[in-house]
Amino acid sequence: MIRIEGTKFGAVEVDETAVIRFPNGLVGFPAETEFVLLERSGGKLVGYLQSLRTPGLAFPVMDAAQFDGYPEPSLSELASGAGLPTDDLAVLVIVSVNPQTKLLQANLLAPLLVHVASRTAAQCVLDPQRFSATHTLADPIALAKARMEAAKARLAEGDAAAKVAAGA
Amino acid sequence: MLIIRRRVGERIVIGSNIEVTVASATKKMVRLAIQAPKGIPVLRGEVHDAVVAANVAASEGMIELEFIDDSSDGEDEASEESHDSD
Repeated sequence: MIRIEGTKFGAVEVDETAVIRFPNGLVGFPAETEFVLLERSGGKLVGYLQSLRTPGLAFPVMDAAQFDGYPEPSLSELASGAGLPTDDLAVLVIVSVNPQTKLLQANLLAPLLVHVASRTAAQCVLDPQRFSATHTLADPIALAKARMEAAKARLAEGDAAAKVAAGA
Repeated sequence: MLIIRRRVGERIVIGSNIEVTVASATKKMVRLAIQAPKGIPVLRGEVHDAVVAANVAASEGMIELEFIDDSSDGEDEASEESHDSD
């Protein structure tokens, strides 16, 4: 087992076989070549890619399978360009919060390709004319409506705790 | 920093396996032809910088993200918790 002290999640223990290697690091983080995926349940995130080298460094990631026709060019083409085997690939995208809208956004410009069998990975950069590094995950109006409906439903139930939450 | 004068058609070689050839040039623009091995990303500087900025931002805003991710997708959990507090 590998023990990482002082991560944003406290001390974490992971199996050596769970390590994902990025031979070239991430873009802007060339020295960060070893990560583990700390899985997370609930919400849209798959989990956090936790650096083994820098305990304070982790990237929230989600599965890219929900984006139709993504990525482009094809996975095998991207993998070959990144020096990865062209089969058995998973695609993750890094997620962040838009500082203005406070909505989740995904970095579709630079997905993470993971060769599952060898646990080798690379961050690829796609065509910036087609993909955004700050792709909003929810339409703000739809999201606001959904929240309002949820709040109304709770008020109708006469749930006192929900009234406080909706008023806040 | 190394600065080299090159004419159209001339090359520079970086390491043993990266070649940059000046394909054409005008007063305001040069076109470069770059040959690099697979696995060596070749990016326009501004695209590289945008990806770095996105990576840095994502690694820094995590606590806020936890909260927003829960509230956007975890409606069931939220209502269960409010019952528990009764």
